[in-house]
This record gives sequence, structure tokens and C-alpha cells, in this order.
Amino acid sequence: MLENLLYLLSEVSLLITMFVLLWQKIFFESSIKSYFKTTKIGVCISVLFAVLFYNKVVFDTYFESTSYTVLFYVLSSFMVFAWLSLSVKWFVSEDISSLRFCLLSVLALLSFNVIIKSVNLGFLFLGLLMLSFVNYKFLKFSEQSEEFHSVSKRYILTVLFFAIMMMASLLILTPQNWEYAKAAEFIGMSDAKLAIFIISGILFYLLILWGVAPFHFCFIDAVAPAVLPIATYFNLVSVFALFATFVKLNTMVFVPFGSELGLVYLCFGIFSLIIGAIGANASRNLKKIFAYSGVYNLGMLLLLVSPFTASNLLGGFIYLQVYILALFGVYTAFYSFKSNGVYLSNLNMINSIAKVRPFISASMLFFMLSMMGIAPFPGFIGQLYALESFAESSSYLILFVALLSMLVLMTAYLQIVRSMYFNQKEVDFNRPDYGVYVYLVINMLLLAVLIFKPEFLLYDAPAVLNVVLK
Amino acid sequence: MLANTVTYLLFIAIFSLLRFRPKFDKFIIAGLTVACLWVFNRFCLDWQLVTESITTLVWDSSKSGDVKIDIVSNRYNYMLIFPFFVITLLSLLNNLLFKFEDKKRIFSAILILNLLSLILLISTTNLVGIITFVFVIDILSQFFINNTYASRRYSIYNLIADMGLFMIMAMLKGKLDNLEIGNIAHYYETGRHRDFIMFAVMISLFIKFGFFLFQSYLLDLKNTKFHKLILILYLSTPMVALILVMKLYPLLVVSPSFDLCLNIILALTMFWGTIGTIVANNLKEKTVYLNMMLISMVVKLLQGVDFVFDIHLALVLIACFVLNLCLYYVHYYVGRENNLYAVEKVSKTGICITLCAYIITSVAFLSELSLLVTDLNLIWVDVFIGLFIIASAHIFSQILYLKDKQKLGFDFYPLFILCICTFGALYIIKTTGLWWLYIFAFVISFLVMVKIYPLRFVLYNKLLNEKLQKIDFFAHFYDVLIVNPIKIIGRWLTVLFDFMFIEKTLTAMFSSLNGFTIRIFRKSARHWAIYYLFNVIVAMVVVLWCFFKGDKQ
Amino acid sequence: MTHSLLLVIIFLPMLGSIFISGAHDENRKNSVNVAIFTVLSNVFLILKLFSGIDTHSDNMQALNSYTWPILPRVNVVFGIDMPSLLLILAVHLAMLIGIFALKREKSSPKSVLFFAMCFLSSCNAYFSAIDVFSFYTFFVLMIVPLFMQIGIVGGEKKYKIISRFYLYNFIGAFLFLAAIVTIYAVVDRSVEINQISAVKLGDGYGIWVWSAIFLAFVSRIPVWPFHYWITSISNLIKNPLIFIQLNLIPVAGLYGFIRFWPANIPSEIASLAPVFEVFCVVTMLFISFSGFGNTSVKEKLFAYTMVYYLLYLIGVFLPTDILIDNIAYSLFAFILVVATLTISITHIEQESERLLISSNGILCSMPKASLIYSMLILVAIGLPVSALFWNNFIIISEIFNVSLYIGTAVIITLVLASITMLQSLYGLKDNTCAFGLSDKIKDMDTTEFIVCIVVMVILFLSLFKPLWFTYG
Repeated sequence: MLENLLYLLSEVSLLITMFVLLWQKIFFESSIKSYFKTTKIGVCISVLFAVLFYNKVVFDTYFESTSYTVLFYVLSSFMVFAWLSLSVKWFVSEDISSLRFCLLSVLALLSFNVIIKSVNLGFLFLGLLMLSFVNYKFLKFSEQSEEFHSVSKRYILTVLFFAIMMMASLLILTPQNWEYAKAAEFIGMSDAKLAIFIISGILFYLLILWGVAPFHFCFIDAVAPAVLPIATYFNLVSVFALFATFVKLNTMVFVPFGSELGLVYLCFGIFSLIIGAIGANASRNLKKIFAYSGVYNLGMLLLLVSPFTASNLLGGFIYLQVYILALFGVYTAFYSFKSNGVYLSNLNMINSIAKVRPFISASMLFFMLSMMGIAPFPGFIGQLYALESFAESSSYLILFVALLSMLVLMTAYLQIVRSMYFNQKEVDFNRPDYGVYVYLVINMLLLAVLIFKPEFLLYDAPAVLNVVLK
Repeated sequence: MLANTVTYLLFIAIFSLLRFRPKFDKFIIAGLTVACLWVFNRFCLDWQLVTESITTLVWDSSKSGDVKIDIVSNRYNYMLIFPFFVITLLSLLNNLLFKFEDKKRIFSAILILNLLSLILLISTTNLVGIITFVFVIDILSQFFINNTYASRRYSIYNLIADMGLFMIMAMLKGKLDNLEIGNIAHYYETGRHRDFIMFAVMISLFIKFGFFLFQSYLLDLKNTKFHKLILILYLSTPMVALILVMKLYPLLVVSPSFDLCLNIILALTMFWGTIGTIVANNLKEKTVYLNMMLISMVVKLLQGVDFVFDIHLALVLIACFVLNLCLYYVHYYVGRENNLYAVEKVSKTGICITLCAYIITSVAFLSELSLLVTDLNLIWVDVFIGLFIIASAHIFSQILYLKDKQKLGFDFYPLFILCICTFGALYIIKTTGLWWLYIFAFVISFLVMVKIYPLRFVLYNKLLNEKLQKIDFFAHFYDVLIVNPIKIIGRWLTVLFDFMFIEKTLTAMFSSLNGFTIRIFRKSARHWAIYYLFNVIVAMVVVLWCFFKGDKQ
Repeated sequence: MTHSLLLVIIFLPMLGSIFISGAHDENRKNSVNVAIFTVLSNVFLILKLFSGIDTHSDNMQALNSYTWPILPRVNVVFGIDMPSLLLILAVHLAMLIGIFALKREKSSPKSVLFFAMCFLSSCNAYFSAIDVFSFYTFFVLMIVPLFMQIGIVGGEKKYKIISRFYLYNFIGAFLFLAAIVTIYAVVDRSVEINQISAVKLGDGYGIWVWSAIFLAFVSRIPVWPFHYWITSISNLIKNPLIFIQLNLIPVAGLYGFIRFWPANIPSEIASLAPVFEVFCVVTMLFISFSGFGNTSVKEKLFAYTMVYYLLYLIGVFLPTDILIDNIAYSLFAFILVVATLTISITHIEQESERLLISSNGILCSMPKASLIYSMLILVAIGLPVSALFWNNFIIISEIFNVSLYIGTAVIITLVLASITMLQSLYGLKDNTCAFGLSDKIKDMDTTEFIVCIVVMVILFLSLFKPLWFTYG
């Protein structure tokens, strides 16, 4: 019993963190920062226990704990930690209580934990449902936005629709087949139409939360009016966990229909590339531009990993890391785009910011060049992996589409560069927090390490990723 | 040794380029002139004793061959250099005695450098060396032209000619894989496009000679000073062409049509030169036209001897220069007025002396000319002598028409040079026996010019004369035929391709396509329910299609 | 020693750019000085490197390699030979001239210098790149700083300019990327340029890959229909340093061809060389005609520049590689001439704009600028005053060896381009257009004049020995 409790400490610590937060609220008049501090400590402890008992699990029929799951949990926690550190600035600036936010963050991490570790479709469903709930609750922070009510309504309705679809799939599967291996067996033995229904139910729910086209609509809708920490969350925080789950499902559950799904991912990937590129160009809102850019990157990722071979997985993992780091850098820079105490999100509001914030603009440029995949900026590595894999499989059409959509997407990035560097100034900018500089430097250092000494960040990654393939 | 001459001249030129106090300039120029005379003396002595020798300087070497500057010392080269040396010396003396130049020292230096380049051009046997010195002489001649318009025309014409030669040299290098001029004789055996080569060389040389159709850039030199004009004519472009025609003769004869083309252009040049000499009122223009006649005759004489230079030709060239010098002094004695009908002051004594010198030099010139007559050019020489005498007589008549003008003080400076020239001319006359005939011809022509009424009416009728002066066929010839069409084509191409095709079609297409997709995208996302549903349906269709296709496979 | 020296040469300008970004100065004096110091230091290092390599060798020297752990197929290799190092030197000198001119340019912020240094660094890396990956990387990277500079001081129509710049350059870059990705997919290892012809790309792919590489290089060179972007941009750029950099962009394409052509090109592509040559000639005629008809001095200079680049390109397409040295020598002189002409023209244009007068005849009131401009025109039109003369002679002779028609067309365009330059000179010196403001017209300042004279001396020395600064 005690041993089992020990193995559950990672999750328990998150629960305890939630209690501590509530306790802080009830018994102390805690400041905004103290909630964040508590949450971050909780996240750290959770990561510590996850690493400590990296191969131990309590309910081994429902969950698994391997180096693969731990890797993605650690990465997700790291993202949550970094996101919390950034978000505190917004809360301090807006002077809004951060308790609910911190509670939801912990809950989100807990749901990440569940979906990453889960080997049972029922628990996966619960995890995703919890994540949907958290996402919906996060949207509430954007109450001051005019679009908030319609967006949150749309969001929850859509997500519920897909949750019901997944539930239907699970009911068809019957609970005794919810275990991944058994589900795979069941799907393999079912006829195509049934298999399509089951797979679609599970997959669509995952993809709607992930934001891959043509399921990007909810994600984009949610990001556009969202306040900065929430936009960051939707764009960055959940990606690692959903990626890990997606890979697991494809290597453990959908195996019998691998080739058909490969084609589906190909189509979805191409959709994502095209929609991401055009959507980014059609937007004037910075968050929306990067949300579409996220759709593009997810499309590329999908195309890259969809054969689910070791090299593709490694390529996908590197691509994801670089993309997340670069995008995080971009969002960090957004925290310094402030005028009269208001965070700026429109393209024309950041006109000529380079003249007053040269370092932030330069780092933003660095991150964007990286995301454009211009060599030798870090994003190029991921791009090269992706394009090489297309060329190796003689998928020259995909190569062509990828490059063409990259060219179109770059136009959107250039709009931002244009605003920052070439346009005439329209507003006066507030002095940014020094923390932003620190985060930007750390971010750039991490990217630099990834370019020149990748072994530090990718230590044993190929072996860890192979675990999921076995 | 020619190398010694080159070295001495180089030192003198460098010395003259050094900066000294202006008050010493006169002495320095005198010193330079004396030094050059000394070098000339050495040159003449060497000429008597010279044996064939080559001094070679390797300028550049590359995988494609060495570029060398050869200074070949032999009698032939000495003979070829001789007239230019004499002309340069006369010009240096002129510069010493006259006050026209602001920077006399620099002017002398350029003269010496020009001579040096001519010597190297004559003596070098390397194709790149030849084209290099052609360019160098063209650059140096720019220092003689102080008028922007004239300079522009001169540069452009010469550039075209030089690039033509450059092209030929490059072609020869490519075909023969050798840079030695001695090998161009083999082009006949190995080369293709013989007519092309011949035409290219010929056109380039005709431009440089300033022959018919290509004379207008020389006529534009009327805007520059007279002494510089005759320097350009006798130490620069046309003389470079003369040297080149001798060097490149093996290339010209590769085409059988060479003789015919040359004869046609020489005849036209001679004819046009005569007409121009008679019609032009501007003394400088007159001089250019007269030189068209003279130089075309010299080329014809050369053709008669297969383009092998001769000492008589050297004397003919010097005589031609002296004739020009006489006209220059006439210009000096009419108060430097270019238009003979606008002269206000005249130095009658000066004019008379100069015209006497002109007659003596002309007689000497014609005497030497008669020595070069062969069966092939007999008619040419006879016709030329007739035309020359008529043209000269006409110039006389025009100058004597100025007798009623105000008096201008006589200047003795030209006398010194005229004396030297006249003595030289008299020495030549002494050796021939036909001088009395030429003088007789001169007198008759003069009388004819002055007395024949219809001709007088044409030439001295003010209205008609003004009209004649304004008729300038060639100034607009190239503008209308070449320059303007190129400009128009250039603009059309820019508008048609750059603006209409690329800017308005290609670039605009990309831009419109981008705009179109964005519009479609925005429109499709306007109604959220439709948009959501559409996406879900698309996803469903994709999945179904993929699974169906998978089943098929 | 020479090995590390090359790396220092590549990255020193980048270091300089960091110092420039940190320079605190209102009037940019410090940043200009830092830039000058950086470039000068690098020039000395380049000269030092010249003394350490065998200039007669055809092999790449001073090799540095770095295997990228994250991309095991990528082995980044840097090295140089005489032509590439000479080009690096030329680019440095051109940039130095541009920076001196920038001293007068009050409207240029220090960010221009910052990006100029980045451009220089990527140029160095590009000319030193041996493997396909780094070749691609720096091929793309060098346009980013230029893009930024155009955007920052591009004038009123900069948005139009940058979109064109972006479109053409990135299409080219992506084509190159597609090509190298395909090559990597086939060989599964790092490929050096001199090994590329050995890569068996399979039936059908070879032609596509090579076409992509070809188009990528062509997108940087003003070959029709790719010429328009560079023409339209250069017409609107007024900053001398940016104009110089823009004029260096075709060198990148040209250098790409020099490296790949003809030894490393498969026969099926090499057999298309005459077609490419015809394209080049047509464009040369096109540009020379347009330049001839143009009235702006800068447009004339640009037309001249492009005609010469195309001449070199035709030289590269010839089925011989003995011309590489000649092209490099000629390019060296050419780059210097164009850079110096650029600053002279910029000065003239600025004065005419300042006093609201026509530039015709303006040189009559600027003795120093007039002298420099006249001398430069003499060099530019290929008279025997610089290395341009003899090396162009060799290039043209080889062109004639291949085709009389192409050779003749090339000569016609060169004549037209030269006349265009002469027209501009005489237009500026036309004393009939004298104006009453001659005493208010400022002549070239002494520093610029000295720089120009030094360039003239360098050019003149290059006439006698292109590598006069080396021993032996």
C-alpha cells in the first residue's frame, strides 16, 4: 500500500498542491505571486517523483510508466512551469487573483499525466474530458472580450460533441476492450466501417484538442480572444502531452489500420499546412497568426511522424522541441508588448517597436526566423528532418506543398517583421519586465544548445522514443 | 636600341609630370624639348646602326598565355616611328613658343607619353599589347579635348572602334590560342568567318581614320583648340588606325572583298573631303575635311605597296602635318577666328608667309607623292593631286578674301617653326623635278577659284553659304538610324516586359493569388456553424476516402 | 593557423555587429568606426590568409569541418581557394567603401550597419562553404540582413520592394532546399560540392534536382525573367551601403555556378549550356538597351553592372574551367569599381536633391568627384587600367571560341553598356548645364576622396598582377 502510494506521489503531489492553494486562499490573504510560487513548487515536486519512480506504476492495467511517458510528462511539466513563470507577469499587471488559474494549471498537468500514462481508453477519455473542462474554464479568463460568450459556448459544445463521439466509440468497443492492446485486437478484427467509426471517435476528439486541421476551428476560435496566458496555454502547453498520446494511440491501438491512417494523416497534414499558412496571412491578430502558425507546425509534425518509424519519431520530437521553444520565445516577447498597461495583440499596434525595444525585437526576429526554417536557425533542423523524410519516401508532392505553404506562411511572419522594424510608430510602449529579458535569453540559449550541443537536450532521446514502438 | 629611346622618353615624361614652381615651367619645357631633341638625335643615330633585337617585358601570365610587351628594334620600326617623332618634336616646339596652353608642362608630358605609346604600339607584337596601347592613346587623346560634347562623341566613336578591335583580338586569341601578331597570318588557314573578321577590322579602322560616314566625331573637334585638333589628327586616332592597318593587313586580306570595300570608302572619303574643304567656312572643319583627303590618299598609297611602310610615306605624313600647321598659323593670324566669314582682324604679313610655306610644303608633299605612284594607284594619285590643288586654291582664295579686314599685329613665333618646315620641304623639292608643274597648277586653280562666277556665286553667296553650313548629314545620321531606335526599343522593352509582363502579370499574379486565397478563407470562416460543419464533413470524407482507398489496396 | 584564421574571418564581422548593436551614439560615429575597424581587421586577416595558401592550387585549402550532432548527415566544411578568397576580399573592400560613404548618410540608423556586418559574415561563410548544406545555409542567410536593411531604409515604396525581394529570393532558396533534401535522401551522408556529380539521383530526378539548383542560382542573377526584382529594387535604393550589398547578391548566384559548373554538373544539364547562354545574351541585350534608354545615372550604373554579371555568367557556362581565375580577377576589380561608382553617384544624387537641381553638369562644380568619376568610368568600360581588361579579354576570347554569334552579341552589349556609362559621365560633366549654385555644391569629402584614390591604386596595381599583395 505504502509502496503504491509512493509510486503515486507524482500525481498526489499535484493534488496536494491544489489543497495547499485552497488552504492558502482560506487561511491567508496570499498574493498573486504566492499562488504561482506554490504551484511551481508543486509542479517541481511532481516532476521529481515522476523521475524518481520513472518505471513504477500502481494500476498497471490502466496506466503505464516508462521512460517515454516520463519524458513527455517532464516536458509537459517543464512547459507548465515556464508558462506559469510567464503568466505571473500578466496577473500582476492586471491585478487579478491567480488562484483559479493556478488550480486549473495543476488540473491541466494532472490531466496531461493521465493521458500520457494511460493505456486504457476509458482513462484516456476521462483525461481528455478533464482537459476539455480545464480548457473551457481557462477560457473564462477572457471574460472582458466581446467574443467570449459565443466562443466559450461554441467551444464547449464542439468539444462535448466530439467527447460524445468518443464515448460512443468506447461503448461499441465495450469496457473489457478499453485496454490499448485489446482495443487494437478488437479493431483489427472488426469490419472496416466499424473500425472507421471507433477510430474516428477516438482520434477526432484528440485532434480537436490538439488543433490539427481540419479540426483547428475550435483551437483558433479559442486563442483569438483569449488573454495572453491562455493563448500561450492553448498554443504551447498541451502540445507535448497530446503529441505523446497521439503517438501512443497510433503505435498501440490503431496499428491494424496503420496504412489507412497514414493516408488520413497525410491529408490532415497537408490541410494543416495550407490552412495554417493561409490563415496566418489572413489574420491581423498576433495571437491568431501564431495559432495558425501552430496549425502549420502541427501539420508538418503530423506528416513527419505519421510513418511512426524510429527515425521519424526522433525527427518529430526534435521538430516539436524546436518549434515549442521558438514559439515560447515569441510568446515571451508578447509579454513585453504593452502600451498604457494594455497588452498589445494587433499587428499595427507593435509598429516600430524595434526602435525602442531592440533586444526584444531582435530575439523575436530570431525566433521567427527559426520558425520560418531559415538555416542555420534552429527551426531549420526540424524542417530538414521533415523534408528529408518526404524526399526519402519520394513524396515530392508533399515536399512541394510543404515548401509552398512555408513560403506563404513566411509572408505572415514578414508582416510582423514589417510592423516591428519598418512601419511608423503608432503607440508608446511600456517598459517591459526584466524577467522577460531573462526568459528570452534562457530561451535563446536553449535553442543555441539545441543547435550546437544537442546531446545535452536530446540525451538518449532516440532510445526513449523507441520505447513506444516496442 | 628602341628600348633606350623608350626609357629616355619615359624618364622625360615622368620628370615633366613632377610638380615645380610655375615660374620654372618655361625652363622646364625648354629643357624637355631639348632633351627630346637629344633623344631624337640618338634615335636617328641608332636607326643607322640598328640590328634586329627584341626586348620583352612579361606583363601578366596566366593559364591562357602570357601578355608581353615587346620592344622590337629594327629598321622598319624606326622608319615607322620617325614621322611621329618629328611631329611630336614640332608640337613640343609649338608648345614652347606659343602661349595657348595653361598647363604647358603637363601638355608636353602628355605629348611625350603619347609618343611613347605610339612607339610601343608600333614595336609590340603581342595582340593584348597592341589593343592596350590603342586604348592608352585614346585615353591620352582625351586630354587634348577640352569640350564635353566633342569629347563625348570622340570617346563613343573610339570606344566602338576599340571594342571592335578588342573583339577581333579576342577572337584571334580564341581561334589561334596565341597572342603573337605574327600568327594572324595563319588565320587564313584555320579561321572561319573571314568576311566577318575583315568587316569588323575594317569598320573599326574606318572609324578611327574618320573616313566617310565616320568623320563627324572629328568634325566635332572644331570645338577644341586648333593645335590640339591637329595633334589628334596626326598623333592619335587616325595615325593609330594607320599603324593598325599595317599590322592587321593579313587579317584584312582574308576576305576577297577587302580591296573593293577599301577603294569605295577611300573614293567617297576623298570626294567628301574635297567637298567639305571647299564648302566649310569654319577653318577647323576645313582642316578636318582636308585631312580626310590627305589620309585617304596615304592609305591608298599604302595599299599600293601592300601596306608596307616606306620612308617616302613617312615624309608624306610629316608634310601633311606641316600643311595642317600652316592652317593653324592662318588661324592664328586671323585672330583665332574659326569662321572665315566672321574674321575681324588679319595679320596680312603672317598670312602671306604662312601661305608661302603652305605652297612650298604642298609642292614637297606632292613631289613625294609622285614617288609612290604605282600602276595600281596612278589614277588615284592624279585625281587626288587635282582635288588637292583645287581645295588648296579655294582655301587661298577664301583667305585672300579677308584682305580688307582690320590689321592684326604680326607675331614672329610661327616663323621659327615655318622656317624649319620650309627648309625641310625645299630639301625634298630639290630632289624632285616636277615642282614647277605643281606651282603652275596652284596658280591656275587659284585664278579659277577667284574668277569663275558660278562657283563664286555658290561659295560667296551669303544665304546659300549659310544653308550649306547647316547641312550636316552625319551628325543626325546615327541618331536617327541607331541611337534613337535603341533608346525607343529599350524603353519599350522595359515597359512591355518589366512593367507589363513581370510587374503586372507575374508579380501581380502572386499577389492576387495570395489576396484571393485570403478572401476566400475569411469568407468561409465568417459563419462559424457552417465553417465548423464544413471542416467536420471534410474530415469525415477524408477518413472515409482513405479507408475506402486502403480497402482497395 | 590558416585553418582557424578562416573561421575568424567568417565570424569576426558577426562579432563586430554585436559591438555595433551595443554602441551608444547619437550620430552613429562609434558604430561606423566599429564597422570600419572590423572590416579593416578582417581585410588584414584575409591578406594574411592569402600568404598562407597556395594561390596556384585548384584544391580547397584551410579546411575546417564540423559534424553536426543533431544532423549526422551534415558535415559542415569550410575552406577556400584563391578565387573564393579573392571574392571575400573584394566584398570586404566594397563594404568598406560603402561604410565610408555611410558616414555622410545621416538617415541611416546603426541597425543598417549591424545588418551589414551580418551580411558580410554570411558572405564570408558562403564563399568558404564546401559542403552542400553550408552552401545552401549561407546562400539563404545572406539575404536576410539585406532584407532587413531594405525594409529599414527602403524609402516610400519599401513594401513593394521587400515583397518582390522576398518572393524571388525565397522561391530560389526553397528550390535549393528541395534539391539538397533530395540529394540527402539519396546519398544519406554529407556531400561536398566537388563530389556532387558522383551522386546518382536516379532516372528523372537528376534533371529536377539540377533544375532546382540552377533556378535557385539564377534567381539571384538578373537573367530574364528574374532580372526585374533586382532592377526595381536598385532603382529605389538610395543608401550606398545597401546598394553595394544589393549589387553583391548576383555574385552569390554567380559563385554558385562557378562552384557547380562545369566540372560538377552532369552531362544532361551541361548539354543545355548553349540554351542558358542564349538566355543570358538575350537578357544582356535587354538590359543594355534599357540602360541606354534610361536617363537616371544610377539606373545606367545598374544596367552596366548587370550586363557584366551576365558576361561572367556566360563565361561560367562555357565548357571549360580555366576561366575561373580570370573571372575571379575580373570580378574583384569589377566589385571595387561598382562600389566606388556607387558612392560617387550617391554623393552626386544627394547634392542634386539637396539643392533641387538637375545632376547634369554637376561634376563641373566638383573637381574631386569629377576626377574620381572619370577615372572610374575608364576602368568600368574595360580600358587597360585594371584587371578587368585582360581578364575580360580572356573570357571574351573563350566565348568567341564557342560561338561567334554569342561573342558578337556580348560585344554589342558591352559596347552599349560602356556607352551608357560614358553618357552618364558626360551628362554629369556637361558644362553647358551650368547653374548659379555652383559655389553651394559640396565636393566629395577628403576621406571619401582618399578612399577612392586608394581603390584606384589597387585597381591599377591589379592591372599588372591581380594578386599583387601576395608573394611569388
